[in-house]
Amino acid sequence: MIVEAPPIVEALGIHKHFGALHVLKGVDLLVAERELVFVIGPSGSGKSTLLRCLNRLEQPSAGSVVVDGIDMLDRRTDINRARQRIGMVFQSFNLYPHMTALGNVTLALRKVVGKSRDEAEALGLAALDRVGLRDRAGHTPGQLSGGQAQRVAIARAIALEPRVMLFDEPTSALDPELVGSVLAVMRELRESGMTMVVVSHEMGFARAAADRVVFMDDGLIVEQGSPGAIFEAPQHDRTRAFISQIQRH
Amino acid sequence: MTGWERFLDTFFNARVMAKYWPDILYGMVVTIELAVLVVIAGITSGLVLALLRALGFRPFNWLLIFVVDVFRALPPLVIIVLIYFGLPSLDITPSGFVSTWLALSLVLMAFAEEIFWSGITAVPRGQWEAGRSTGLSFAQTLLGVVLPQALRMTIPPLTSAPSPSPRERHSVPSLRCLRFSARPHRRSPTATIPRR
Repeated sequence: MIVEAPPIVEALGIHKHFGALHVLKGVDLLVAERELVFVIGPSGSGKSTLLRCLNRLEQPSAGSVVVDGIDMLDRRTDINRARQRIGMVFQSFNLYPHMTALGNVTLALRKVVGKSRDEAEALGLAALDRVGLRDRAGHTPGQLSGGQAQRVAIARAIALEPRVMLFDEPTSALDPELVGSVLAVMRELRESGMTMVVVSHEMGFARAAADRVVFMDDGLIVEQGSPGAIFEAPQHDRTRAFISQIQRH
Repeated sequence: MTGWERFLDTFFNARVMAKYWPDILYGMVVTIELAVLVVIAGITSGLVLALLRALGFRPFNWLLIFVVDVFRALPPLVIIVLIYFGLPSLDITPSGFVSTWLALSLVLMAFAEEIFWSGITAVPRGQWEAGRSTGLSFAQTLLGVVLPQALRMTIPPLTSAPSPSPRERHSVPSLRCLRFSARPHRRSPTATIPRR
């Protein structure tokens, strides 16, 4: 399903070099509003790097990135304002260990958005409520399970009311029995109409929730299409090899 | 005089102790004053340097690393002597106390900078990325996210290794000598031998 609206994420001709390593070799990625795009591919294929180029955690060596009408690579762009509109969730959660769950969620609300402490806490509690962890507001990350920590990280991102959410292998560091709670939150986000770009190996979730699956290998998008098309009838040998590899597990 | 009496007379002589304990007490007060001032100045300036180093401005960092390495490598007494006898040539004549304070502060600054910097670099990269991805600026992430974690990690090494001030307290007697030395423009190492 490619929606006929102007894309909210428009990354064109993205190249990324790390020294001599050519990690992205000219990638185009368009994401429509309310679309959930799933990016899969073998490790080292550049999918995380692509994701990180979208909010300029990595500076692309060449290409253009426009998110919600803002040119992310323009020097005149206030990158901190722009990033507020792009939530990101990391494989290793990256919660601030010296703060409570609520402190994690409210930090940017206070420092970036400029909310008062009371306003920020009200919004932070609402965000925690949305991921089912309002009762954990006073806990520090060390007192949370992996699944809870990742849901707090999602709350930290959605509290800023982003237009797009980026997920970089959000469940890869979790014990299998905790994956479901995180996926449930992601599904709820999806149903609320959030635009999402997800790098993940959760193929079941991709089948159930993704609008489009993008397969990357060796720094390029090899093939993309509906989950059915990619999983049941991949066109390229490399896609076929990758799909059969992961489905064996 | 037996051997035992000679020993007591040499090391535990009540008459000598009575005569000099006010001086020793005074020296102790000076030492404590100095230590407090050195710790305040050294830790603060070390922290500021570590934060500046985090900005990643290369030419500045090369200079900073050079300066820090010099002050870590030189014996503090050498720095005290350089300041006390060297600065008068530039028409700056610090007192013995100020010279010692400045020298030991510079040494502690150097050690503290390295400790704070190691703390800052020990904070995982993901913490920076989490902060920046929510729109926090570099400075906000450094001060609000990274530094609080770095400081916790640096407390143990800082308490065991603000070495310059306690360890180099033996420099202080030379300070006491310097305090009573000749007038600044006539400062020379030979003029500082204390005459009591």
